[in-house]
Amino acid sequence: MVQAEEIREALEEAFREYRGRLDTAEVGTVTYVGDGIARVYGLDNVMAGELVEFSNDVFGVALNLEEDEVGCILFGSEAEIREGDEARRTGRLLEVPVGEEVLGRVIDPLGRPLDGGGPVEAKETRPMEVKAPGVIYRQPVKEPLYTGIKAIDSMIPIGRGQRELIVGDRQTGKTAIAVDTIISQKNSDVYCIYVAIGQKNSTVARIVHTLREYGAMDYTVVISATASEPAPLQYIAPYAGATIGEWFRDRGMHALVVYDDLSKHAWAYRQVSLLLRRPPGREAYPGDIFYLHSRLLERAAKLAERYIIVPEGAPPDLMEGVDGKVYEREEGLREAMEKVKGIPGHEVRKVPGTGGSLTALPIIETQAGDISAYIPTNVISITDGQIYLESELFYAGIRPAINVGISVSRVGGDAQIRAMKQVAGRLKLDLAQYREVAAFARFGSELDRATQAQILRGEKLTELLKQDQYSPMPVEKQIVSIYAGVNGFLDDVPTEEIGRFERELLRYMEVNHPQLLKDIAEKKEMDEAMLKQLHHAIAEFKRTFHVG
Amino acid sequence: MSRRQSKMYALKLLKLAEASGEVERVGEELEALASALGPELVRKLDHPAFEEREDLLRSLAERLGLSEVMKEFLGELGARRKFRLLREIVERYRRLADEVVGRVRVRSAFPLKDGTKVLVEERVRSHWGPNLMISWEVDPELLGGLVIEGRGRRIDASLKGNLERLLRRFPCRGWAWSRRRR
Repeated sequence: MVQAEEIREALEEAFREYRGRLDTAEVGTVTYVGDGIARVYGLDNVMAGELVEFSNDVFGVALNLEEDEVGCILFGSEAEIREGDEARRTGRLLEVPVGEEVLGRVIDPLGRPLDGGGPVEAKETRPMEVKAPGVIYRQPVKEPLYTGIKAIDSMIPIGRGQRELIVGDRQTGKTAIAVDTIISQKNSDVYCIYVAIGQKNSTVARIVHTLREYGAMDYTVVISATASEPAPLQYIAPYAGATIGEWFRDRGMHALVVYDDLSKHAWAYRQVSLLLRRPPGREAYPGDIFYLHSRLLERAAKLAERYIIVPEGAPPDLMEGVDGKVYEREEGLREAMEKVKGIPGHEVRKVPGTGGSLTALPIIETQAGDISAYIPTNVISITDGQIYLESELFYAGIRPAINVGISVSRVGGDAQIRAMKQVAGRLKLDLAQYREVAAFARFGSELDRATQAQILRGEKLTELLKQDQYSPMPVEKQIVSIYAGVNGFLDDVPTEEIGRFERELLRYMEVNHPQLLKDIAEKKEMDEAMLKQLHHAIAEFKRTFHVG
Repeated sequence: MSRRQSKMYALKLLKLAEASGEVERVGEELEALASALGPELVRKLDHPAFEEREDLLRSLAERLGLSEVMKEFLGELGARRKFRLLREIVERYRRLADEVVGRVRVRSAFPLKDGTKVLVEERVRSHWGPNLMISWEVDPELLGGLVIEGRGRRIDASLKGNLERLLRRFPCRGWAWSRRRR
């Protein structure tokens, strides 16, 4: 209960601290308000992208600077503003709270809480529109980011710092893949940001509920600009997500940001642009729609690691090496390792705050499988690969409904661990051959033995790659499963029993060969002895597996 | 569309007023006219079947003692039936004229004494340069103090502004937020 005394004290303090008698401001007059935008006469010196304050604490951003007017997008209720009202410059840019305090929260793109958990007590805010790090700050993708989905981690691997597009029609499981990926970061050091743009409130509520249920909200922040929010808010939402992710990235930590989805983001931007009377282009999108997405996705990056040579047991916040040199990236690490051999009592250490990453999983919804539409082609050309989902596969019961034929990861291969490469190469090959001959099988034509074997193998592997939602699998188990598949252990198991076979095999491995699983996970590579042990273990299990 | 039209009318009117050196007078007449013509009258004036328009406008011009420029302008508006633009034209004209004469508005809660005026004018000129025109206005809503506006800037030293700013500093701002105007 608030006491009268407290109120009095608070009021007195407010009075006591109040000094300013003069208030200088650059002001303009609102000449038009509506549809989420406002036109302001005056504000001659306002800068593009500057925050503008309207009456009743509504804020906007100046986007169009015209001859005698300024076009602003509004982030609050336009009902609070009237024609003739005053608009004033703030000299600030759009900012969003960042830091560990936002984790576990559901916020709107301006950082206002939506989860009823009180204000976000962040120590720091950052401007939303910043330039992506340049070439010299980056290094190629090299660590894996596991989605926990067999089909993706084996054939379309994603690396930290990569941008992998998830594209497909409605109801093909795009969001499910993103949510699974977030859930599968539970035991990793990756922080997650889920940005919902133009979605249904009920969908967002369900996703938040799911994430809570699986304990994923501890390391996740949800930014929500649902379909009921004004278009300007939807337009800035992904930039807010990228900004929060960058905070982690720039501290040497790792973050994953999901933009769900960028088609609706493009719609929101198209609406805002048309209302601001920018000329429409193809499909009525404005001319800078490509830049809209490219500048966003460029902010996903793997930053270069820097190494220094320090005395053993030196304090962890040391920024400078004994030889005054900083070694960069892989080459630098090798050089430093060579050099440290000649300096006894010293070690090579990563400079704190370097080598962070921000991985982006943008989502695009296609209409009737048309990936050659404007927005899908744009985003495909910006990203480092795409995961293509098809409704036909989905309804055929292949879930996740990934079309592995046209899905690619252009850089993730470098991030894949060797153990996975050892088994995934065969998997890709077998499935590719299967796709080639699968068409014949449908005609029931007579086939030679080799073709029949290929078809059989393909069917079993396709079945093996099916996976339930919310059940991400650690990489060592994926390797065991796929190893069993590509080495023919499944060929004589009835297709409908493969799911059970896999579950029981993994159970068996956990119980009888925990050390092997651990070794695969830690060494990231399988030598002859391990391969042999794995082979025997699976054969051993298969003897005990009874069909039916 | 109407915005562009009213801008054109305002520009043309300003040019004519400048030529005859009556920028100020035309401005005042415009304001007077706009406040004299209510919405009902404007609708009537723009009605195509309204036959006594010219007579009415002529008598109106006589009664208000309008300048030649304004008389001409009224005739033009009448012939084209554009009286519905009048409000916007006044607005536009005011802004354009303010720029042309370099107007600085000084608003105060009470009429200022001459001594104070001199003082204020001196400060304003030292701040914004000599080429400006100061118009003095009285606005009791300010409660006290001054508000100086010009060149897109506003210097607020009024009691009302101070109170509003103080209100924004209150630890509990819920009340200020939910406050609906008027």
